[in-house]
Amino acid sequence: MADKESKKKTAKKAAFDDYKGKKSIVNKDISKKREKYNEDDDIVPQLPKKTVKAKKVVTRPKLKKTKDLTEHTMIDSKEESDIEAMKFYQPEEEEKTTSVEELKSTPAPQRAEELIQDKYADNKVVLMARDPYWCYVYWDLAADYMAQKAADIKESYDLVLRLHDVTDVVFNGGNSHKYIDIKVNGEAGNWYLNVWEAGRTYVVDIGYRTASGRFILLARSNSTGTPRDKVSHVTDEEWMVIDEDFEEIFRVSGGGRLGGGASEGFRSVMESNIGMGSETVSSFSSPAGGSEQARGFFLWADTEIILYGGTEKDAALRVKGEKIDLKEDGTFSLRFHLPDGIMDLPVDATSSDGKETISIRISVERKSK
Amino acid sequence: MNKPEGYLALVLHAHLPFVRHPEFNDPMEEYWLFEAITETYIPLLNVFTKLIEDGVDFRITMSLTPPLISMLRDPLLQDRYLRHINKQIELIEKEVVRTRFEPHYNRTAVMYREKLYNCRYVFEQKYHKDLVCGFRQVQDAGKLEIITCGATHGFLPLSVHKNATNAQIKIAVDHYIENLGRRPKGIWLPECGYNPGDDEVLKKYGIRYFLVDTHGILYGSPRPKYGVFAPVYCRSGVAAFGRDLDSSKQVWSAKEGYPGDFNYREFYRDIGYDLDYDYIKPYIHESGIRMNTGIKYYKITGPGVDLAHKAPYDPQAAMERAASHAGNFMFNREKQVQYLKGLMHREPIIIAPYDAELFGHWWYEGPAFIDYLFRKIFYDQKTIKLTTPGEYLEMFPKNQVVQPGFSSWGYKGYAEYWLNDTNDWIYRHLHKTYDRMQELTQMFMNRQRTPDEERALKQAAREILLAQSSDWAFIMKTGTTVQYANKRTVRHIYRFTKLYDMLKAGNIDTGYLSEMEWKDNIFPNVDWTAYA
Repeated sequence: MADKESKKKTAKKAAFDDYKGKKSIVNKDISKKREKYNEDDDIVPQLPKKTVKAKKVVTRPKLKKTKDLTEHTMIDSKEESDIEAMKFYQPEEEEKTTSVEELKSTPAPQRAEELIQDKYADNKVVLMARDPYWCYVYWDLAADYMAQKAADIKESYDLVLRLHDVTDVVFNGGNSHKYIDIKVNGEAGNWYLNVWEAGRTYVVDIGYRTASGRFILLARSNSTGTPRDKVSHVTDEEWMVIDEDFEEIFRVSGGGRLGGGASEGFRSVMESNIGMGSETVSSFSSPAGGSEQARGFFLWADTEIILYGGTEKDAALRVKGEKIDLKEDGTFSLRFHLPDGIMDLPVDATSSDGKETISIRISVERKSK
Repeated sequence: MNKPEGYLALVLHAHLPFVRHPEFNDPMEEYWLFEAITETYIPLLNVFTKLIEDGVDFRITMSLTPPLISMLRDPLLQDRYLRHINKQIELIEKEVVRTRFEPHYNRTAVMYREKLYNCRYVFEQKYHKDLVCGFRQVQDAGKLEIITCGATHGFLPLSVHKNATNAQIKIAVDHYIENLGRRPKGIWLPECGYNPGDDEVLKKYGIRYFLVDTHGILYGSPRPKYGVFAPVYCRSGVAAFGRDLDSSKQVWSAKEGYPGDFNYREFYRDIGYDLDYDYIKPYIHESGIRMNTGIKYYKITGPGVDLAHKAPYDPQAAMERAASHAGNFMFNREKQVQYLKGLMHREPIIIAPYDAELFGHWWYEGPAFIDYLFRKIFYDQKTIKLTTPGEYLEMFPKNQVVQPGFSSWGYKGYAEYWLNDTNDWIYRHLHKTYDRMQELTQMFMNRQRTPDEERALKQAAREILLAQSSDWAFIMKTGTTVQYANKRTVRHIYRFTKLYDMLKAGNIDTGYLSEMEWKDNIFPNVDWTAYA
């Protein structure tokens, strides 16, 4: 099929010229018609003016692309796209403009309509991830707003995009892992950014950077995550059971048996059933850097937390909204990995007749430095 | 029946963008639908109903997208299809006569004649012009699992605004319930475009599973223990199934793929281009521009054979190839399943997703391939069993928790096909409409509305949805009918903006509104509050 695909476009034309012989006559016929249809062009909607575009701004030598699985596992999806495009094939490839409007036989009453503005001047910047290595950013700043922001600057300045890596942080403007400035042309209105590495979260600020290094913010984008480009090194397994009615998601028993020395395997089962984020788990297994160094000296430290208690034997107990099975004596004990940050552990017990509910809210915070 | 060693789920994604132009007599883009009906949808329905009649148990999954369902149920398009098929029948009658002294063409003409009459019968008599009803019957018989899709096939990873994603899902689910009388179990995310977090929206509307491309699962975190051969759960509890590469390649790929077999019908050689102009003129576009008629007499013939030197098609030989390809496909799946079962200690599922239109429209013998495959699986072996993702989840409710990665099944696996220098200009406009629609919902949701305001809000939602079809960005990139895609995008954004201005100003031009309702009539009951 690839042969077919690739040769089609050229082969087709040549083949028909040879084969049909009548081609020139036919085409004359068509072009006459096209002239006629093209007279109605005033109704063609206008595209917004294309914005000036700068491409491939290499911001930094990117990490070497891991080739392991991408190359092997991904199918030639270009070919699929080509085949999919056959749904929208258009007759007579030479006639690029063939379309409804040109071909209509009964001109419907039309207004000279459907022109859209090309900018909205709403002072915003939007960031979109395209693939593991590229993001697209567009911005729309009002001229008077830009002028007003520039008015107080007493030195020379540039318009820059400041791309922040904000993976796993609540961004406040100054706490990103790192950032880089890309000088842009204000007219461009959009840019493709080559980002550092796959599987990260980014935010872009647009603003003025002065000669002395001050940054005057004009607008801040949404945050966007780029996909990872290789198999995760996190190998912890979590399992989940979903039953038919979909609401009662986690049905695993419990806590009690964990009291003394839970095995690694069982612990991960527990986690899956108590709804901890996979980020948590990844921190679980992320190799402590020291252990891989040549020298023997190392340190690592991590925390776990045990939640325990008791209620009526036949009561329904939920922790973080998930149902927990009680031990025979009505007690329970759960063990969690405790990552940095705040962990809320709402505990709710409901009596067997469903009439009484008691809730205890426990909140734990871990900070490491 | 013995327990199988593994499962195979064929998933066909049936979709066309909403193209319906009551303002024109013979719009060329409507032929996309007509060709797909004749070559794909009716042949597939015939395969399914015949299998049921013959007592062959099978399972297949199909996404019927809301735009496709809407077009298949639209009276104007139904009548136009009938007009189209009647013209085709007129042409094939002439063809059978014209080729009567050329048996190597005549046998193919006779085949087309039979098929076209059957199409008309199935369309008009059997289903009373409503093919959705046909698919629904197969679903109700327990053989077909129909899943939904984004309301207008909007590519979700690029929506940026949560409310746009919410509306694509909510409106699709509403539409599914209206048309198929039950809730959808699963969804085909448009272009398999998934962004972490989208599953939360699916969960909100009761969807149990979605499909992603292979690397969406393989690059998930933690590492998926069973690769793509078992579903994984997102944290939300919604399951994700990943595409199997081997079975995909066998159908899609040039080197290893079946559709390139030399005995199969050649797609590009069509009498719409070949025959004498005066003879063919009544059956091509009414403007006189030559186009495909669907009547094609040649086979692929050989590698690199140019169109002028193709050999005549032999329907019998092609059917034999389809049968042997079906046998080969089944054999490979059996081997694959046996191998995987040994590794996994659990019955694997092999997800084989394709564009539905690949079968019949592109690969003419595709529906016959499916027919042979299902019969062979039923009669000839015990290793694999057909299933659907929904059914598999019922059998295997315990699965690993993995966060799948941002991915699509498009070129290069992410969003590049829909975000590049041919189409990136559309997003600032689309995003603006989401902002503005949200503004409108906030303005109107909790207050008394006039009937005209209600109508205008619904129409505004329809225009956004139509502008959002990923097909437009796709076409801009492929380079076919680009002008049409540009116009559709601009037009719907323009129409939305005009309605937005009217609603804001409290001055609704009902003449304009009625005209838009007439032209863009998808989703009569659209819930505009989905944009809140």
